[in-house]
Amino acid sequence: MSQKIAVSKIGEDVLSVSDPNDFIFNSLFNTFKIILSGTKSHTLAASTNNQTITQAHGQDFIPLISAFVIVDGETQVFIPNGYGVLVASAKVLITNGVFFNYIEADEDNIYFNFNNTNGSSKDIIIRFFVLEGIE
Amino acid sequence: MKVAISKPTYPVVGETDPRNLIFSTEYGTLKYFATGTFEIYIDGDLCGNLESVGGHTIDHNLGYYPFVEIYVGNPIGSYEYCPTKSGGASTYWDITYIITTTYIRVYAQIAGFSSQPTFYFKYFIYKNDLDL
Repeated sequence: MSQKIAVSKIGEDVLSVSDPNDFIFNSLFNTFKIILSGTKSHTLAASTNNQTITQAHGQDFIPLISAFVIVDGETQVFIPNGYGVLVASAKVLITNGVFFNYIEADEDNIYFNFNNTNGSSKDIIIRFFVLEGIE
Repeated sequence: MKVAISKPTYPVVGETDPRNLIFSTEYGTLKYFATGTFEIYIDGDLCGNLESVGGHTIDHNLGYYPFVEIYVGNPIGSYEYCPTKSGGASTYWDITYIITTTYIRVYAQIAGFSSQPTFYFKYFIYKNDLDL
């Protein structure tokens, strides 16, 4: 007989439900683990696209990464493939000029890529999460 | 002391590779705060004003920047992870969002649509603090 540990959501019978969405936890299903988290501070050069920031992840596998960024002095956070927004109306959306292009990871490092279209440098802080192994 | 559950065939005692564990108290997890759905409808040129940007705000009032994930159901019927820049043969959409300490604001920009598109969203807000 196989054994498991399970906690169902309120209102669900832990002994009879089978839908993974009805469980808070079920040892038959892997959990999305946060292996480590950290921050990386960097100054983006003015008027420069394709700026790559490198951060070692310390794992012996290629991990899945999530990351968020804040520009110093701003009160908004955004994520890869996104940008900050200063003004938006029904006809126009004006960005903060900092574009978080993408994240890449290999066996050793995480690579964060940005554009800064502002005429001045921008200080940023990246919050990154090292998650499950990709391979 | 820790609590750990290993994957089948892996002995839980002494296992240190997180890839071989179902759960371990040594590693954090994402904890749900709220999830839900909403739509953004963009008028386009319906009112003669060539409106191309739509938005939606989700209040969370957590007092810090939370971990967030958002998916969008696009006008051609598939879901994309946000932010996304995508489109059809002659259409384009750019969906992005910002996170503040009290709300999430989602923006959708379009171009090339001859009709007024609706974007369908599913969001997940976690209690995990980005601490930024």
